[in-house]
Amino acid sequence: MATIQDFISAFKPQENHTAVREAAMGQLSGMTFPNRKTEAWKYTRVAQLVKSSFKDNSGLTPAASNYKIPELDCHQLVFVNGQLESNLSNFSDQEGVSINHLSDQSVELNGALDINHNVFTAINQALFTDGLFLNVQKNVSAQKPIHVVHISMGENSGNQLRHVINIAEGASAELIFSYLSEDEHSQFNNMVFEAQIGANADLKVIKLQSENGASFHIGKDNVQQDKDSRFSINTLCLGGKMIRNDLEISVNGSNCETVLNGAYVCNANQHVDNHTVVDHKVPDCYSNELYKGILADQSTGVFNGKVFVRPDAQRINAFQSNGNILLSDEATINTKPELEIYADDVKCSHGTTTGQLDKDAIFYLRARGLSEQSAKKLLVRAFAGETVENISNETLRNWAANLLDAKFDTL
Amino acid sequence: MISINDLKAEIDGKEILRGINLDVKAGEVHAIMGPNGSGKSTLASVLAGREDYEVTGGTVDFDGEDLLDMDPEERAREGLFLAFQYPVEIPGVSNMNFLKAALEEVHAHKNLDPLSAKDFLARVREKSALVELDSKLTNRSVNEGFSGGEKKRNEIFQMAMLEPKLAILDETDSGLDIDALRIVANGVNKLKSEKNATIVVTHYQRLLDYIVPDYVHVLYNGRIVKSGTKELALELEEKGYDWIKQEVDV
Repeated sequence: MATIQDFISAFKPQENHTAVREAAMGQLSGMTFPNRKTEAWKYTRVAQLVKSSFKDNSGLTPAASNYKIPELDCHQLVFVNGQLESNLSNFSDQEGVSINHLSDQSVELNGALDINHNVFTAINQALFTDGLFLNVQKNVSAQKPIHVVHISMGENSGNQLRHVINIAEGASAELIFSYLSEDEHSQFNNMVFEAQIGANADLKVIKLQSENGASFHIGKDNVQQDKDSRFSINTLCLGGKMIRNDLEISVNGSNCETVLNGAYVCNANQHVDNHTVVDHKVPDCYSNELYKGILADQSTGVFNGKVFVRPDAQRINAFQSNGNILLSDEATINTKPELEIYADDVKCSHGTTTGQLDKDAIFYLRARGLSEQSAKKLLVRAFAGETVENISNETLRNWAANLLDAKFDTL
Repeated sequence: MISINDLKAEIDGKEILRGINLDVKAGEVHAIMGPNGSGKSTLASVLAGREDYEVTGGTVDFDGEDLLDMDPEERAREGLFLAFQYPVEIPGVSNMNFLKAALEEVHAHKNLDPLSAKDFLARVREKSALVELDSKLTNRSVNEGFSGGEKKRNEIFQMAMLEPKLAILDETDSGLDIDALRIVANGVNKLKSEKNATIVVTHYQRLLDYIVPDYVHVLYNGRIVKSGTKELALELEEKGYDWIKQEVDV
């Protein structure tokens, strides 16, 4: 097995945020890559990833110059191989909304994120090159969504960004993270996103993973919710050779709402793993999680959703559901919804289904003149489309639905 | 319109249709009756192209084309319509999107211009009124949560939207109360013309009080064993199927 030192050797040491980086480096010296005995990585092999030699690959300029979401009025930050490309970016501060990036000297990082349990998070903390640093002040509503575009290009590019978001009491913001490849080379995105959502604040996140079929993506999203706050995230896993997302929500205050929706649509040899944790530490909160998977060819999906309801976290309503459709005999899904409940007055449910497209429904649609292909697409869209329906911004909802549709066309 | 010649079909190696002969001309209504298990629904399914059944013999000529050679969607686009005995519920697919997609493919097949959104909506309004289908239902997911009567009305609504040459109604009357039956039959009658034809598959004579057939055929053991006019249906209603079974079995 490759060592961590080998793996990180081609990444440039970074000069800023030295305290958190040193802490991470120290942590790394005692860590190893997960293997098949590591429970949290049981179904996701990292051997192929960690034996590759990824490196910082700065200085490349993409040919395409427009990564805009059609008809969306937003701030846009474009990171090319982990470096902010100001020519392609377009953002400005609003009163009470500060859009900055981590390599700016004025930014200080607190290093509160737990890096003990995920070696890739620790590697990111040691070596991230930049990232969004967003602060929305008390009672300010960010008027435009913020679109963060990640472009990977060139051979063996390893891109490590860390996005840090602070939404103060009563404030609100909407973020879109897009991940794209400029070419067909194998690349690696190792991304960390951390958000603090203040009391009665609101954060919406849309994560669109559309890298090329040779690339790896490891993502860690950590969200801390204070009382009366709302958080929602929609994750679309469409591209990439391998994706592993770890989404962790700590619900630290009462009367919070947490909505996690995700869709993974995979074909060829894609492997997509979504691990989620919602940790209800206090009473009177609501969480709802819906993940849907469509798996074709020899693709593999993993879903592991964990909901904790801690002692005394009474009157929690926590719902979790994962549905899968396998379009081929060789596709695989490993799904495990988990509830750990230590309180006694709660309403919680979890469930998972795995099936195939309904043959009777396909025949019914064909008997009305639809081709087999369009019948299947209609059914797949009906099944997975639910995961983007809660996106309140209509332009974004349509965009997400279009991305799903485009992927369905390739199945 | 359709000419069925010595049609044989089986499912899981079990022969269900053992040589069906039937000719239906434009403007005609044919009723196919018969006891349970006689092969009525199999005949409807085979004509619509359900792949669970294997055709083992015979030919079906549909307006000069070899029907058995076509995929289910080609049959539909050529103007064959099956009103399902058990319409399928399709969660998440709205009735409107489904019909729009169906009409688009049918129009493309016939080299017709696609229907404009305005014309499509006008047609939905007109045709849903025909079967008194609530506009709320037309916007809901296909058949999801519909009552039995609503599902059957939705079938006839789809038929009205698609304007088929040949409609096959598979037990459309079963499970309907008398009001729903009247509405469904009324819809079918209004769609009738000199250019199209209807095959009504039913176990009960009651439907034929409302959709009056030109010919009645009795299907038993995979064959048409008796044909006649609408009076035959009345006779069956009165005497049941046993006398036919006896005639045939002797």
